[in-house]
Amino acid sequence: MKQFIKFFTLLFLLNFLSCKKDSELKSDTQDPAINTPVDVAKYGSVTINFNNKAGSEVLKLNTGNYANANGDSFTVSKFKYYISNIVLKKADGTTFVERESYHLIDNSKGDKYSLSLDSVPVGTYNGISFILGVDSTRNTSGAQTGALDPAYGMFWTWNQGYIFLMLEGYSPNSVGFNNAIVFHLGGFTQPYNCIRKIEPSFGTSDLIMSENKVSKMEIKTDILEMFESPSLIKFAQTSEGMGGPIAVTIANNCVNMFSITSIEN
Amino acid sequence: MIARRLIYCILVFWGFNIVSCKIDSKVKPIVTEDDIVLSWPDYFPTPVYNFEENPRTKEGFLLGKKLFYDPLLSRDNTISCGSCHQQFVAFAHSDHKFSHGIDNLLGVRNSPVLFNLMWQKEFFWDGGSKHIEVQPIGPITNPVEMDETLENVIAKLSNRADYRSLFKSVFNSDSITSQQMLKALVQFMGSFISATSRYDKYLQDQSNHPFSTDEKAGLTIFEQKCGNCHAPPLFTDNSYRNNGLDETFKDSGRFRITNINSDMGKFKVPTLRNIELSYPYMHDGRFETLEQVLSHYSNGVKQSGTLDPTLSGGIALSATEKTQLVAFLKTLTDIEFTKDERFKE
Repeated sequence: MKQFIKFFTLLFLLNFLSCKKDSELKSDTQDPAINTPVDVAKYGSVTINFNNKAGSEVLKLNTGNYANANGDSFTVSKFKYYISNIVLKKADGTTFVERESYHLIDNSKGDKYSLSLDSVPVGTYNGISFILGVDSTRNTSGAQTGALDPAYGMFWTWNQGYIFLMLEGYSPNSVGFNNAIVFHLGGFTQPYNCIRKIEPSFGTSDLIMSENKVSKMEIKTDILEMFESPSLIKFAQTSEGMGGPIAVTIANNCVNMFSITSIEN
Repeated sequence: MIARRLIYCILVFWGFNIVSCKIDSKVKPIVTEDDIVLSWPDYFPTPVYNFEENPRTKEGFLLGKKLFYDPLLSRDNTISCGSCHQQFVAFAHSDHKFSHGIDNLLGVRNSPVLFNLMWQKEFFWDGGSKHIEVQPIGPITNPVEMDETLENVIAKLSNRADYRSLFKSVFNSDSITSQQMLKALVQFMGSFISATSRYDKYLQDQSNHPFSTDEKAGLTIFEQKCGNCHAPPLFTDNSYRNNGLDETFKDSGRFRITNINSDMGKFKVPTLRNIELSYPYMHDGRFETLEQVLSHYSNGVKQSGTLDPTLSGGIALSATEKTQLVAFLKTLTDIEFTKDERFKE
């Protein structure tokens, strides 16, 4: 009889186990440790400034009047873009990868955007790379927060995903409604993938990270490059692009849009 | 004697436990965490969304429910998610070809059913949403649906003491974010599981839940002629297809998302669960009855460059077969789901 009871008790317990429940949830907070090799104990930091320009001029929304390479004059009412996945590289191939590396640069908040990378292992770095836009993973990982909060309006609501770069303004040459120029770069699937990896050259300088020192790097973001090469954009022909082929053409131009103007160690 | 009672007790408990394993329609309000436990039949595939990054709680579920039925989410506080997604028709919009959103503006596509969303990778008729958590941003911001900005929704919620305390109890943070709002909505909507139709009961226990002759025949025809695209158990293969509604396309469908010519006029293959309730049919709600839909497939398919190859000759269906198919399709109606008290406004 006792065995009988045991048997049923066992079955009973087993049955509980077999119930699918989602209450036992693991929170997967593990981040791959990418930038903390154990043998490096000393760290420095660097401030990186993105300076929005139109050629040599500081970008001024609404009031600044600029001309693209085709000679079309234009003004800019909105200029915002995402910089993500910042990586610093040493000559020996080792890298520093910024964690949670998502930055929304919005010219309405100022023509200079400043970010700082802390806990960078000391040493000499001769390269940097980042993404103009948001990697495809974060485009499809559900509701995000921080710089990626969709409430910032850099998120397409019907073909969902982030707008990587938004430039809006006016040009007398534009054939668009009210002479508007509207360029929203986004889309992360082929053939209209607008994610671009940017690797501006350090030139002859190096970025030297030393303990207890803050280095400084100035990056120029030149909106005129968006319309110049390899594809010359004429506003009389192309005044609007929201994803798709036009956005891809401009994204290709954007690869040349960033340049390092100074490094101070 | 005592031992016998003990065995009896255990047996009763055991039986009870088995019952609780199935998705029984709960007719009581949410009181404990057990009331929101999710379960589904073992013939369902592994869910796409598993709540790992959005742990479900009773409070989260109830907050999501409050948000779902709150017109605050719209610009003039008149339209809620529940306005166009009604539980009694499996969260479609009853008898509406297109839904009237804000200012009585009409949408351009038929409001889809909401259930088994955990198994869905993409949303909207054209798959423009790639994740369940961000899907609600579409209708909230659509100018003819709720026409509100996320920024405003968050501001309105933050101005309300009741929401402030509810959000704090769920997310333990002092300020409300769009991420929290979206995750709470999913805690509610993601809990809609429809898997207690007569078809499910038939699958699980044919002797106690038999099909009629017509229903059985209908199932066989369905498996031969429909199940390729409307693949059980979810009754969709989640693909995009042109099912021959038109020769030219007023609505470019999937093309709008991909910009790829071969996607022109394609729309998501919808689930057929609860199809009896979710009329009218097709992305533009052009058919009122299941009979009209079957007539379309048997002799109404129109040719075009992107027509699904499996439909190029239509689907041969006799009058009897159509009757049998309709009988079968009606076994996919899940009244326990549409009457589940937990989801009621």
